[in-house]
Amino acid sequence: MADSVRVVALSGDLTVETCRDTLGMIREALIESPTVVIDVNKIRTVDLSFVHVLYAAKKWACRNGKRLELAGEVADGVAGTLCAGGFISERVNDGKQLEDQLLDFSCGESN
Amino acid sequence: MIDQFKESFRDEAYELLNSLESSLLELETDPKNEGELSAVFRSMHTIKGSASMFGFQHISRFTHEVETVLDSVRNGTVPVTKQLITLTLAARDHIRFLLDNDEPESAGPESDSLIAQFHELAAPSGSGTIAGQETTPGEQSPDFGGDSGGVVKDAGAASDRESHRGIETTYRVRFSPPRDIYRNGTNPLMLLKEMSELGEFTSVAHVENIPDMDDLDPELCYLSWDIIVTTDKGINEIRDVFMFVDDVAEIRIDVVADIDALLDGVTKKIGEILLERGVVTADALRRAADRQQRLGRILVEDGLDPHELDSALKEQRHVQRVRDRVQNEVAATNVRVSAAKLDELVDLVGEIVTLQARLSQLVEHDTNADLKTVAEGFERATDDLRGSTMSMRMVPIGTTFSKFKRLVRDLSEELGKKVEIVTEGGETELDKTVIDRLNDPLVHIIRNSVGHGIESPEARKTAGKTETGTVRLSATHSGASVVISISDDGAGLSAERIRAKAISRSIITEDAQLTDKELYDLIFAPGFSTAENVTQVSGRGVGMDVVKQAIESLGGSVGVSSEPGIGARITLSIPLTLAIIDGLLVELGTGKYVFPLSAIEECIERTGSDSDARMISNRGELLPVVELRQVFAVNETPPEIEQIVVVRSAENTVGFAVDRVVGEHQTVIKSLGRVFRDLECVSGATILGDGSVALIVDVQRLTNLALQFETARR
Repeated sequence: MADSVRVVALSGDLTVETCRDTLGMIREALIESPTVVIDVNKIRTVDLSFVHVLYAAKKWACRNGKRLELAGEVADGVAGTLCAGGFISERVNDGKQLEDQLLDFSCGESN
Repeated sequence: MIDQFKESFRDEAYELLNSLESSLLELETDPKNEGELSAVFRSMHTIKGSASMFGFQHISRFTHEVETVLDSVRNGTVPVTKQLITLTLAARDHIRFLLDNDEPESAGPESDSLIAQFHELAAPSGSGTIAGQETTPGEQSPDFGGDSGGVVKDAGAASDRESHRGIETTYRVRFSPPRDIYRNGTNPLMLLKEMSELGEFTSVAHVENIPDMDDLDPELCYLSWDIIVTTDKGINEIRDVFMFVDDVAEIRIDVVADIDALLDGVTKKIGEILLERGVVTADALRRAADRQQRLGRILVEDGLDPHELDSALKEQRHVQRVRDRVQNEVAATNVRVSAAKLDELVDLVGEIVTLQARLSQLVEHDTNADLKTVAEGFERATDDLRGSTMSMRMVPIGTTFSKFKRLVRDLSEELGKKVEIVTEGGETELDKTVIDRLNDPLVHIIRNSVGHGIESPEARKTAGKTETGTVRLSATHSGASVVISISDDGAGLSAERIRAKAISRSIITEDAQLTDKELYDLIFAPGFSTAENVTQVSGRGVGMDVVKQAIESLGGSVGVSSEPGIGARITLSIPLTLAIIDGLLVELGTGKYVFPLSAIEECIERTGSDSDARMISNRGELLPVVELRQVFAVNETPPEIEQIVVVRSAENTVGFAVDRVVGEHQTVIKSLGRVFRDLECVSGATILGDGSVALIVDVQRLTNLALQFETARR
């Protein structure tokens, strides 16, 4: 039986070069587990391709009755990018806050 | 306390009425200028709001009606016409009358008449009446229970204007990059970063088009943005950010708030923002407003994309945040102080200047080094204090200039002439008291220029000129004075007619030999007028005489020049201030006198051989000399070597013989009081460091006296 919660620990610079791998890891976890927690603790920087992956995974999870959550400390670089990109309105420190703040990141509104 | 608030409101309202008048006159020459139209609307709107707050209910009701029509103008349903401008100027005058007279009941019929005219003007056949506010959906914004915020439709023109003024404007940029933007090497985040560097920045991403991961190509971009930025940069600098993608991306830039709107405290209702963005229709908004519930929720229920609502809300918050900041900055940096308090401060500074002079004199022969150091420090501080205080009273003359645009407009209509007024140097500053006292002389001169100087359109055409004449009003600094010039391109002065008139009025004799320049100067003689017909505009024969007296009472001078067929020019030279001046202290016997330093060209010695000469040779020219000893009846024996103070006033240079030049003196001008009010040749007095009094010489009157004396002698 699959784990009820699966943690995907991402790290380093998540950019357009690595986005397919990132998407693959999250997809695999979501298919296998009802709840997936993305550990953002070791992510150093992100670009818009990561944002696409995150939202696309969330939409898939919502549509398939699964949960996608964020956890861990959010690096300044990551929060800054999300802020400048207009995805969050103020800087956040941890994954849970980020989940709450991300624009249209809840299943109720995004679908 | 309430009276104080009312006075404060009056002051503010007078300023707003002046701005309103200027904007209306600008709008008349450029009816498509939406910036000026917005300014007209905001002035009226602010007067209405403040009047209501301070209990001026008549003004509030009246301005409300006018504002309603102006709103229709702003929405494009009523055109800007000459009739509208004339009517709004009349409304402006009426508000001024109501303010001046504390809203008399007798003003009611005039208010009703003006309002009726506005309604008539704003009710074209086939469309709804203004009173009923019937509108065509899509043509006019409905009222959603709040004030609209002065939407500037032509973003390019408005933003360039704001940029030139170096003040902030808030823009909305809707940016939709192409899907394959990464593949052409552009990172949208870098564009957003560049935008954030332009000023206060809010961005809202639209994520709704990102598919779920089964359909996602992570190398494509599914995002778009609404970017709100408040910046002092122009629209072109914003366009430059998107320079490399503007042919493949969708980019729309709109102005959402300019600095005037922010200062007025006006922010748009959410309905207006959504309407501007084109995501809801006026009809949908009107229906939603009728349901008396939260607009956003209703609109979403009716099908509005919630992302659009969220983005509009963020724009509204951004503008509110900037508005609060701007208003706080203004409140923190500006304090409104009554002119009376400033006068009081200047008086006190005058006392300090006098005390400082006394202190300096006392320590001059004192051996206490510490005391000398303190006295020197006090002198420097007093000098700075004097400069700062005087600068507080300085106001730009442009505020007075702008009033004359209206004067010229009304006069030219009355006389059937075509006249435009050009103003230059409006930023030139003068003491407020001086500016207030300049108003009447300038009105006289401009009335004469339009009435006598500028010809009728037909006469101008015959003379090979354009039908429209020009009156040019300019101001410029010249040392411690400001030179104001009023020129026109009319027919110029006629020396022959002036001569004939002067003879008929017994101002000169038939055999008097006068140059053209001397004849022109006769227009300043009491009772002189060349007008064939006495009209309301000019020709009463008192104008230029009054002008001369008024300017001389300010310590200034007036001159005239003219070229037949080309035009005439009146030049006023006015001292910067009337309160404290830099003077030159001189002695005559045991008495001390002060000359205004700004009028002095040089000081030269007069040796024994020239001691009785009424004219001396100076730099190759004959210089008339006035014996001040005779003027002031000084009987003590003169020194062997006298000093001549050479003074230039208007276009004459005259020397004044004095015993000794003491040196420069900061002169606090004190009035001589009623007893000595009619004393000629003295414009005031000042207290010296030793407590004695020195008289301030009225250079202009002395010069006139000397020249009259010289003419009579010849």
